[in-house]
Amino acid sequence: MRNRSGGILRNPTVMFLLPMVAYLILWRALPLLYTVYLSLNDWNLIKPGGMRFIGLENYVHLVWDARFHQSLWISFFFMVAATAIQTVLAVGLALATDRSFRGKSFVQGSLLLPMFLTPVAVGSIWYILFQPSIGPITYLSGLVGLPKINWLGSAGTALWGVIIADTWQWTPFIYLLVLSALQGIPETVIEAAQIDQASDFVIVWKIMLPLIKGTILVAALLRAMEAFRVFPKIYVMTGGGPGRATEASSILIYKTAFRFFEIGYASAMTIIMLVLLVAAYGFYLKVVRKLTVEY
Amino acid sequence: MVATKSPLKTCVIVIVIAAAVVWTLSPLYYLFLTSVKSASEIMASPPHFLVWPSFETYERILIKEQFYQFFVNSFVISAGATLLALTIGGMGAFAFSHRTFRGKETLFLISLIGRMFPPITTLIPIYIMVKYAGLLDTHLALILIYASFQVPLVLLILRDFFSQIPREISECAAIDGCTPWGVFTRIVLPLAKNGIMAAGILCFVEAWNEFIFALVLTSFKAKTAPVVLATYVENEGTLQWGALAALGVWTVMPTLLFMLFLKKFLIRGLTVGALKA
Repeated sequence: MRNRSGGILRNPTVMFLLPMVAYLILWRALPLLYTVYLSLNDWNLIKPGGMRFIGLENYVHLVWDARFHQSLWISFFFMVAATAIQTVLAVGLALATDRSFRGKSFVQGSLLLPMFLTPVAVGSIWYILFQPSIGPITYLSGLVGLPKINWLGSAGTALWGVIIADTWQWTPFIYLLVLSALQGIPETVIEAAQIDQASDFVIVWKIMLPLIKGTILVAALLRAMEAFRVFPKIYVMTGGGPGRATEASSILIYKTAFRFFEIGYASAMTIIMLVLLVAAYGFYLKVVRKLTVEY
Repeated sequence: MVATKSPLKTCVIVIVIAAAVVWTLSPLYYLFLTSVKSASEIMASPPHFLVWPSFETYERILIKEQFYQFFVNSFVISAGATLLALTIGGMGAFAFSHRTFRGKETLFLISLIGRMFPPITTLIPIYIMVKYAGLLDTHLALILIYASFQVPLVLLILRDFFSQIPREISECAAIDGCTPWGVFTRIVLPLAKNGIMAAGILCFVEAWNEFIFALVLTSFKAKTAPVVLATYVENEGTLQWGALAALGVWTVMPTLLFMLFLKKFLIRGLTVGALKA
């Protein structure tokens, strides 16, 4: 650092970094701190009186708030079910398509497509597909003798409807990462096993999967963190209903802040959600480090 | 790659792949189908899976009811955010790849944290900031916010691409009297065109797809396509199926086009972005 006044601004490295650092502080760091501060206040935007500092009172209320607990459970259930289904499907598909065949580039391109589409549009697509009146799903399941379910209209199946839509969109994400890991396995490893007369079953289970375990776990983690905060699909497909059957935490936070205007209380929910995510992330990384293989 | 020899196994694999492709493409087909059906065909039971397309719904909803303006909004906001993020993030990536300074790795990691915590954690304070700045329902507000999500992503992708340009080149240019800014704009940027393309496309797609901030921060003038689509489902969902589907088709159009023509860039950017984070 130089002592002359204005010297630091003449340092070219600082000039290149300054916009980025200032920008991230203004739009990412300060708002996060402001959320923490808001969570310590009682503030309803439409009631007169403004902001009132109440310390940890919002958090004490949250400990007893059954609606909030239920929303966390729904988010958690959604996260685990969606991530598990998508990981299994993606690994299977990656193993099936990691070979040379005609039309490979078309197949891989199609299989990746949904992950780039607007989540709200994906929600709308499946909203249409699940409609008993105009969608094909009820009709097709009737054809093969399954009961005609109003998927999004009944509390027992609505969340599964959203999970199916989510699976359609995000299996490709895990598929992409697993496929690129499979392509990174040296050919010689597989050839050596084939020379030793290992069956395909053994090659897949004892050689390939252990080698790409690290990638699978990281992909599943990234997916789980996204799944926990699912918002657009639920907003479009069910709006949190029927009743509160699909009211995940992100939906509840949105409603609390922008329908009931309880800014402080919603901020406290946000902080709890963030703490849970960070804790889960730390725990998961520990497990991944133990399981990852180098080759 | 496992070599397959038995015909039974080949058969199973072909069926799996075919089923996966049908599962992936048929929902998109049904969306398009619903958008080109007439009102009576939409309600037909059992549903028709082949119809003679009519684009009358598109004309009505986009032109007569002027919904095209929301797609213009989405385009302006996504393009603006992409340019801003590329500028700020690109300058940062240059410093991280072609300059030496203390605490480089630490600062890089801290900059990436911005992407780790979910956007919803800053939704409430940003709403209040934007409200008191008088920027509610403006394009500018969304451009500034989306760029802030994307700067870490740009940083990650462009540092990777910039590092592949040997430092000797930029150091030689500096000795020949080129200013650091000149090295950045005349040497590094032109050599990293592919990286800028990859980062830019990914930013554009992300901004185009964003929903929750657009939902909270806009009400009419700056409404984006996803917000219009979602509110259309809420308000008219069960009455105007064709119009809903037509809006859906238009919302997914840009990403479909990117996927058709620029797949390479899209996937390259995404793999770097996801795995290095």
